[in-house]
Amino acid sequence: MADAALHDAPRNVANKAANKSLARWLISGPPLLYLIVFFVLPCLIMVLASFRSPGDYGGLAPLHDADGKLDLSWDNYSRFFEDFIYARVFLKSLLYALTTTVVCLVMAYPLATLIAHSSKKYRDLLLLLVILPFWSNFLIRVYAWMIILGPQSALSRGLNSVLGLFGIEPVTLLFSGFAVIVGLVYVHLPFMVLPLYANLEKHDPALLDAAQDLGANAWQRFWRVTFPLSLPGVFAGAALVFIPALGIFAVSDILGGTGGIMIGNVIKQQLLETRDWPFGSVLSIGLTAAALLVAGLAAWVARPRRETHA
Amino acid sequence: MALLEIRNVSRRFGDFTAVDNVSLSVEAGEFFTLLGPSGCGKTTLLRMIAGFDLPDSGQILLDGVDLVGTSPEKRPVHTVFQSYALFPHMTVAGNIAFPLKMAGTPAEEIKAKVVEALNDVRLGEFGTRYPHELSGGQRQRVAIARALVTHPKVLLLDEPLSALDAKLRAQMQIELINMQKEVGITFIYVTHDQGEALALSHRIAVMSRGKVEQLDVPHRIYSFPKNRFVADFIGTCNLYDGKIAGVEGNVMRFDVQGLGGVTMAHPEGVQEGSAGTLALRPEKIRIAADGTDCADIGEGNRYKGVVKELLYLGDVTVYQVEAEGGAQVKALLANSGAGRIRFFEVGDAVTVGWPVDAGHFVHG
Repeated sequence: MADAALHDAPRNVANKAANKSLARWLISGPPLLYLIVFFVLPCLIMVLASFRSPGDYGGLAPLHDADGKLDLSWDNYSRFFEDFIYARVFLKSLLYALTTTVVCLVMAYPLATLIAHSSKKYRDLLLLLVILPFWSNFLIRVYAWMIILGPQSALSRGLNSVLGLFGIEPVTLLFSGFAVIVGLVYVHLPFMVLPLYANLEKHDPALLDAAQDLGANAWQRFWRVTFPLSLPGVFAGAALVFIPALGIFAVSDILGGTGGIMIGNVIKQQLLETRDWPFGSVLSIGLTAAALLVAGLAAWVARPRRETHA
Repeated sequence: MALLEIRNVSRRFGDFTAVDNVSLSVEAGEFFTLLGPSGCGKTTLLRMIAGFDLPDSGQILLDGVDLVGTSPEKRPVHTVFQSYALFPHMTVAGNIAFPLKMAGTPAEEIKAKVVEALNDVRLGEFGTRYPHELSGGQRQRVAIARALVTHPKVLLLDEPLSALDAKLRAQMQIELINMQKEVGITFIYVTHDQGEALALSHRIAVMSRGKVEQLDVPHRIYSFPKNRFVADFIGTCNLYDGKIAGVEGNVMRFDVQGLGGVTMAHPEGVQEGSAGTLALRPEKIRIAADGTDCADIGEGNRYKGVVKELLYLGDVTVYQVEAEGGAQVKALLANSGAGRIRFFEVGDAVTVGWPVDAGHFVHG
């Protein structure tokens, strides 16, 4: 009996390991499958589409042309690089997204610090206030800015009357790059606040005491202790703001006018209005590449380094 | 003039008085310990010296200059924190360089001083490591090196060894003593561990409820506790409340319920009839088997009793003996006999005894 039990032991261990890996697949399988079907495959379809020709009435032309030859070419890519206008929209979108990210960071940092340092009672209330805008419709919130920035708004009239005192020509706030950035910042601010808060809240207050004890003033304590320790939160927040802001089209559609067009608008136009799917695919691939490039650059800048003096 | 002088310092948090009119002075080069149970005000006092907290009243003078109004970063006082508070994003060398950088030391000088500081704490090879790559004892040494590298006038240590295991703690205690001797900087050490305080300090201030109960050198704190609290807090102590029944020259008879009359030294200025407490250390008590006499206690005190409990600790055994009158007597015996595990068993009839000069009279 005892012998049998001993011989069973390794088999039980093996069974347990098998069960464990089965459980793992059961849990991670469905979401993995979902991602493959609804993300990886569409990406591949898009890459394939970018080499094909547009159909006469939208969509794609047949894969084989009249002669039975495969209709695949770099034509769509050449078009992208030949016409400078697309690169310009790309650069402008990058600029808008970067500005949005920086403004969000500058605005979110004090807010996240305030929340992290407030007592438990107010902390939950403040966090609730940060996510409260999500409870109303996104488009309505952006439309509201149309009114706030519109020429008849108290803001516009007040600003222009002040400018008038200095003899400066009245300015139009709405339908400009400025309006787009205001909208982008407004929409994305919570995505910067939350990861920053999550990071700052974990900081050990003894570290700031130690820094002060060792001679660091408030400025030095921030730049040498708090900020470097918050970098993971800064990068998480920056990624959550920059990547969606780069591809968004609704905000620039509503607030940007003709001058404030972003790459998202051009892609939407190509796919839905011009119905040039192949070229729309090229632009989409470019957008993904740009986002990856910037994220990779940020990761490279923030790579862990071993210095003798920190 | 003392290096650091604390004059009538009080600190209240709402209704709670954390530090209650404390006055004490610390000499240059001294290893001074604030000892007391948690909540006695020792850490609050330390934080006020560092500048993280301000007294509600009183003065803290360093070299005769009041520190109140000087922010922590400008005080020539550094702290070793209980949690070490090493900067996790800086290497060991970066951590040690930090106070030098803040002081505006030239880069070349920083390099030399960091190397020197690393060697001083035997971490010469560890400059490029990060704090999370070090053991507890190594982190502790980095924290000390970082706090000492700019040669502050006073080093404050807030229970720095409490996170270490017992063996390492004993080793670090010896290192601390040597380090303090070497650098000659005044150490103010906060601990709740009376053994640590006795081992390390030149002088100890025993604190309770915001007040200093006794301030003296370690052996006097241990042997001549000023009151019941100090006697009870420092080490183990048999404490018997009673009354002085009679005085004969420098010897008196002290009546203890459950024990009887105890012959002991008569402290000056204490009247016959006054109440007090007899404090008696377990290691000063002898035990002998029933029928034999306790050796070398002369005219001392002898009581019959029975062993009720014993605590075998390896090197020593603590016996709890119930005297015939009902009083409990804790006695400590070294297990020094050849091949002996212990001398007595529970239920053994014994005689406990101690010399006339073993007990110490304390007020209330």
